[in-house]
Amino acid sequence: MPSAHIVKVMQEYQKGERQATLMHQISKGYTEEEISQIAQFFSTLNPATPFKKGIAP
Amino acid sequence: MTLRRNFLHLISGIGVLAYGGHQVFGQSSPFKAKVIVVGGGFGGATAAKYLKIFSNGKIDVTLIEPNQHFISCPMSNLVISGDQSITDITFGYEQLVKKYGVHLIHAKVEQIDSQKRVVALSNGKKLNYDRLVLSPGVDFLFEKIAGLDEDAQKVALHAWKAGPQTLALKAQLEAMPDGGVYGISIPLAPYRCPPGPYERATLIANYFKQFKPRSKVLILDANQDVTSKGPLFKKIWATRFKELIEYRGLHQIESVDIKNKTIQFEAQGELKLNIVNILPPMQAGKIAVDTGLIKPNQRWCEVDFLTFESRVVPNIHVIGDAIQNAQLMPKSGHMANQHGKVCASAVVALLSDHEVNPAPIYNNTCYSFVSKNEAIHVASVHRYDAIQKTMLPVQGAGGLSVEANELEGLYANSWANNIWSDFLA
Repeated sequence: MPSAHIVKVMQEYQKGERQATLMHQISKGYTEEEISQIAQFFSTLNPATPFKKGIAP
Repeated sequence: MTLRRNFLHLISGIGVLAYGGHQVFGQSSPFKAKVIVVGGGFGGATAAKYLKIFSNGKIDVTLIEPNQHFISCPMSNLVISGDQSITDITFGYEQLVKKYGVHLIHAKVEQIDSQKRVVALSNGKKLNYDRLVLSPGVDFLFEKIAGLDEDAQKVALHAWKAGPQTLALKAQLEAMPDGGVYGISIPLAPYRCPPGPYERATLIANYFKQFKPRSKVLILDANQDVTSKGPLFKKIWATRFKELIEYRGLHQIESVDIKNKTIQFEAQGELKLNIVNILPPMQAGKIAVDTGLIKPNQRWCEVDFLTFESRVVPNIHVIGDAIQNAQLMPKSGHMANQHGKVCASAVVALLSDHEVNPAPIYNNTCYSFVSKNEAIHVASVHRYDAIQKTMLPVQGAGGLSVEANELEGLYANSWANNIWSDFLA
């Protein structure tokens, strides 16, 4: 996901312009600089492979 | 340098998905330090993995954990209520070994010699360390409740460490006749997982409503009022479980009589129950006590929140439920995971003469289920305050759910899958 898109979405959460259950509350704790760092980091990741749930004992 | 610091800064600050193959150390870093991590829960397993990632594999990391498998406390109340299976919350540690090169030893730590920096294990081995990360969780102060001896503990379960007791409590509920009374005794805060007892009570009431509708859940809380998500839980109880759940605050348990299935309170006398579920008062895991990490008259380990190094014993870092929490910082798996990352980043910095991140920031999210598919949350963001030298909740951030719903239930399941994946995959 491009970094600029993540920044945009997080800013919308911060401003309450984007519907959320949780992220509008979490995003308000981070500065612009931190949001930018978070976005840069996530933009470098490949999409996650789904976690295989439950390994039987 | 700036890039690296930024990376460490943010990786400890954000959520559970934050990891990657970034090279934090240059190939030239001339060190091969030994770090021992004690305890493979949310805190310890996270620290072990991220010590490897942040040091580009250069630190020799040994994780010591007595159990062969990790069984998650978060989500375990759904196993008790029959909504999930124990295999859903049970995982292996293999990936930490295969993917990240962590040495894994299944043994118990018998003793930590903090002077010589040697750990003695139950298998007779002795290991040296340069720095030790201790993530021992909690132990129970059974002796604070008269009558709660070893035999009584087999009947009056806590089920507050996921595993055999989770299934044993489930079996007790299944065996209880309709019309019976289940009581859960909650200790004074702080204890592991503040909303957990109320989630359990709610899920058990939900089970009763479907299968044993004449039964009752009694919440017997030593605290004055519900310690977490109070209005949300109370609304659910009032609207869905009016006849099923009764909440009683200021109920400090004094003793238990297993033969007669009664418990006695300091102020309110005696109560007869079919199932007695006692969460005893808690303190930092015994090994922390034995190692002298706890100051007199305290129950938890004081740490430096930049490094998680003990304020009492040098070179030992304590994370997770065992620490003396900062303001509004709950004893939760999510928090322990965040401690693990900040601690790993600081330990790597200390061992390689780099600057420790001076401004850690991280968050907490606790979901509680109120039925198989519906959940509620409480969230907070915590930032280091250089003047007060502690973590403080960020004003204006965080908050609670508006109401329980299935979307939050879906996110709660995702939260669990993501955080398990973050430290086990």
